Amino acid sequence: MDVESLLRDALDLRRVWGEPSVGFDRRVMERLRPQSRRRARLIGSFVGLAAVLALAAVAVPWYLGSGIHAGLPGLAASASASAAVSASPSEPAASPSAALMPTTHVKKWGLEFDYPTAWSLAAAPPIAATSAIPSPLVNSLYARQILGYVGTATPATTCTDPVALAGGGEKSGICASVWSLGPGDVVVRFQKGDITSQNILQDLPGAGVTMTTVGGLPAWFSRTSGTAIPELPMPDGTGGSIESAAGAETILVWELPGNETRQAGLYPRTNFRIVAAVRGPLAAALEAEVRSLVESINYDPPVVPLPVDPAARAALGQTVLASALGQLSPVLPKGSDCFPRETGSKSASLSVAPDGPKLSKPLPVVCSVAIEPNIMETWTVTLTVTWEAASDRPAGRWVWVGWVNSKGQGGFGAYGKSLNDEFPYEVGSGKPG
Amino acid sequence: MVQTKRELVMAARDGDRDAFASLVSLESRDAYRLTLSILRNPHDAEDAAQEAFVRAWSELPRLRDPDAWLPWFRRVTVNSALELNRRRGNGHATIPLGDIEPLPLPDGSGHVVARDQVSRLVGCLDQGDRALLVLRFGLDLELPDVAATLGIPLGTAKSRLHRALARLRAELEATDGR
Repeated sequence: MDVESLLRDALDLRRVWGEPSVGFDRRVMERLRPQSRRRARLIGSFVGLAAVLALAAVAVPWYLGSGIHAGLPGLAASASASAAVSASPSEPAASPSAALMPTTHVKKWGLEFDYPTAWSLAAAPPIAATSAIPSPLVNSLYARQILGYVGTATPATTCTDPVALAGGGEKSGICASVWSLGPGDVVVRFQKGDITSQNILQDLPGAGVTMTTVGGLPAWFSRTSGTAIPELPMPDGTGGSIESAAGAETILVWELPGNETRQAGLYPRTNFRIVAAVRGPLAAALEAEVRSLVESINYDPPVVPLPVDPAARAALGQTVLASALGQLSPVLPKGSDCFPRETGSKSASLSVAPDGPKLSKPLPVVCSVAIEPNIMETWTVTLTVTWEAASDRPAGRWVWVGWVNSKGQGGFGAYGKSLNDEFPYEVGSGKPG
Repeated sequence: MVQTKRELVMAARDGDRDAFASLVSLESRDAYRLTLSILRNPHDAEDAAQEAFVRAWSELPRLRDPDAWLPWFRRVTVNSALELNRRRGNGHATIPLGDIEPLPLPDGSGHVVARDQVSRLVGCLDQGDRALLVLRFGLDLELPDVAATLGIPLGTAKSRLHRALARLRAELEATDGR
């Protein structure tokens, strides 16, 4: 008997039965962290250096002979960009090497990043308080604060004041930039604030918006031609472009979540907005510089990734869950009567719904708790209550989703309660019972 | 836009998560089946395959030649399987070879029976030898490639292969004689 041919037959992977379970690809992607780019950048630098030297051999005699000075600070990357394209014609023109641009590292606005030294960085002017409101609160009166600008030009910032509404309350003020891009200009604007309440863990980006990664966290990205600066749609579908950058040819927008280490309660929501407006010539080189800037972004303090080791991750998850459930009572005052203190399910009889309403008669339910890591390097905790149909009630389900950090802190009470059926027998609900 | 695997590898190497997601989609089944062949446990196989992709993403910037993706990724996958096995303390199979009952005859075909018997016997080898056999006969790799994938000297690979084959032959003959 030929063992080797039997082995070929027995071990042929095409005969191996089995598929990864549903969601395998998604789980893999959720575990990815930013790659270490040091080597790639190093190679890029060498390629760029060789290309620039090659270009210099051709361009310097021409430059000296013509006596023409480029004089456009935004074109500082053009040499390496052009050289990269001519050195490697098969490479797309939109990704020229910008590796040789000297950069300046800065910690600013809750982020840190590298930007071309030839560009300038400027904070937006402070918003003048218009009333007796203490100045630390002034920014909260504006829908989205402008933190500052990086680029070859610095637009002025104007803010319209908040408006008191007749029925009480106040309409937020709006801060905007006075855009005016000349040839070769690039302006990158940093903003802070969330005006759409979209959740980067739950909501799908709109048309033309793709998911990317910035600073180790997921982010949304869009690239459009023209001067209109796209705005994420509001939850009700309204919204769209509310601003235009005069002179721009290309607009790049990144929407970043907040860093959970800074803002435990807000992190799944878009919190930073970066708008880059670019105008040619050599717009591709400028765009590459902008993309390099954004690729260099890290949160300050940096994002703390979850453990890679599955056992350590699972153990941390259980600790986080215990901590999160310990903080449940202010949000779900009756939740502790129902949910187990660790991952799993238990049967219970509810006389009060977890979120407070009294029930006119006991409701037999199954209460479940689950926790899993998410792409925010934080945890998604899901509380579920299910009940079966009976003669006086339909079957139903109540779900509460919370996002918590590795200390068990977070927006546990701020989100979730979606896809819920109303509890039967709720007093005053008009439901059976 | 349709991209070739080479283009996907290059883009993923440059940090393009979408490109890597496409690679995951393309390779996940083969990676899972490779780890399943070595580990013989669906849960462990999935964990190891997942770990392989995570490592591949992390190490991809060091892959110089995008055309070398497949052997490189297989090496990462096999190593993930073996490492997971070591971590869980399962260096050796728990079923002694001598305790395996002869399989029933499902269709009267001697070859099918023998093939299934070999498959079961392979499952009882230690996982390093099993990985070696899977690479050599399941993926039809030449022995130098097997050795390179496992990170062992060629001589070691040859002697381990020889021992594993001899053991299988002996077990098959013993089973036939029962």
